[in-house]
Amino acid sequence: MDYIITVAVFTAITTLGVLGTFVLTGLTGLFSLGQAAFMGLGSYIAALAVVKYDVPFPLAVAMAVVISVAVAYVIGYTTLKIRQDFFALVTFGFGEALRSIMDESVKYTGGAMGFSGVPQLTTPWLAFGSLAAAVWLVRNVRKSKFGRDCLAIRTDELAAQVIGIDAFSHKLKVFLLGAGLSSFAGALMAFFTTYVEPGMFGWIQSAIWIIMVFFGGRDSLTGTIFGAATLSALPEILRFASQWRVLIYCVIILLIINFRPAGLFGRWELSLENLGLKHRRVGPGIPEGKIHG
Amino acid sequence: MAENGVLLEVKGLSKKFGGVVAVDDFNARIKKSRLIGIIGPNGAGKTTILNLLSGVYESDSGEILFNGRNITNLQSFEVGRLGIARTFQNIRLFEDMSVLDNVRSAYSWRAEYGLLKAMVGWRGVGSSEHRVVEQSLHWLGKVGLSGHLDEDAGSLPYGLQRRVELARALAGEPRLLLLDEPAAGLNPAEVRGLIELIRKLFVELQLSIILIEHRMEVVMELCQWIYVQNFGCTIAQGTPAQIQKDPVVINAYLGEEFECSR
Repeated sequence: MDYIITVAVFTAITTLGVLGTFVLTGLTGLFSLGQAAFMGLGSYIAALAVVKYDVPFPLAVAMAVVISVAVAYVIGYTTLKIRQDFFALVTFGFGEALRSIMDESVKYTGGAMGFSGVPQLTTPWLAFGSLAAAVWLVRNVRKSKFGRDCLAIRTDELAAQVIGIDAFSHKLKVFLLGAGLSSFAGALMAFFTTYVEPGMFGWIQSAIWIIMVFFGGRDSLTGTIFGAATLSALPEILRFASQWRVLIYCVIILLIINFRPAGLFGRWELSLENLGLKHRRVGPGIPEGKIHG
Repeated sequence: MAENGVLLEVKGLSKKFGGVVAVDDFNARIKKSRLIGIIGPNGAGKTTILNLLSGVYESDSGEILFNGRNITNLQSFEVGRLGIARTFQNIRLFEDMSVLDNVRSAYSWRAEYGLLKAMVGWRGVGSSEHRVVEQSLHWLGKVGLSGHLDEDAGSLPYGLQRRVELARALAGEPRLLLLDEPAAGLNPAEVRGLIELIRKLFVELQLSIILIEHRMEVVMELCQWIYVQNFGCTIAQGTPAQIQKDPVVINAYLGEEFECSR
């Protein structure tokens, strides 16, 4: 496959995974150092199902998402009641535990050597189409009451509870949604790279995803997509600079954090209205476009 | 159901923090559409009472009956859904959200759609949101904030932030509204406006209000019945006229020692 298309598909799938971090960490303020582990879980489940058990590809992807969401339910139900800093620790532990399992169960996963021989079934169109669909879903959630509840809980959980928002149940739903998105991305990734290894899904990867979200703007879906796309493609683009690329990468991130603390895009969202291509619909006495969230 | 119009009944409510008794055996019977005040020196446990009533704290002992239903130690979101709304002494708004969205948030638990419908952009989401906007605009109009819908709540001046918080509380359509020092930090003109606003809301909405306040003009002008707290105990209760003349109350404010008697 063409090099550029390969980079583009890889970037699209990563962005899809980062959407999980966007809803969980960006919107709701829950720092998870295990988000990439859901991508790993999705990868392994789908790859094993197809290679070892001859499950058809679409069904394997669906299985990967359903099982990952079920795992997320167990983890979320037991940990989302504890304080948020502990939540970061627990998700860190979960991620690392999952990685160890993949590492150690050599018989099934190939261990640290990785699991290869996965057929390449993720076409560029499937990757881009999936990303587009996921972006649409997340955008809808963001614009509904769920988007407002996320922000309300992030800003002041006590005040949110007092006005009737069940913070625990809301966080659990967001956690499941995030796990679903990231594991879906994982399943696609396995069938694109044709190879999965545990090292790709450790806590460092989760931390990089958080950086991507904050780089683009934690409140902006547009910013998150931009952040994820540029930062995952950047190492490839900067390949010409050989050993300098890590340095350039870090400098760019530091510049953004210093000069645009709310992220590159802040709260700005890409829309026809914001580009001035379409007039704002006027609601009951207020401009529709301004009712965001 | 509640007997003879009693909305809230509190029996023997107590709360300790370590060795400090913040609230000691608080009792109250509050009927429908009453304006009640709680006053007392700093540290008397007034805010703790509101925190217990709104489910923010768990009580150590005692019982809270609301509309005849035992709500003791329910979680705050459950209490909120049953019809007790509150504001906070140090204003707790969703600062990064617009004024309108702050009020809309109070409708979340009553929304007619769930996560799956929201994800696929189900048609009902739009109409449900439209109704919520209209209702929110209604409350924002009541507190005089129609001109600030789009602004970030956190960027408004203090006095207006208090009104946003009030509108958000009213959007819960409460039967009981708890106001924790609503006049704190307001200038005399704003205090006047607040008194008029509370009176107007009280008359129009026929709800019960419990008000904590240090500004005596607010309490004395508005409240029909006043509880005076000191060191966690109720040292006096009565009408504003009675309270103003009560020697126990005057002593409490001038700093004389007081022993809880039971």
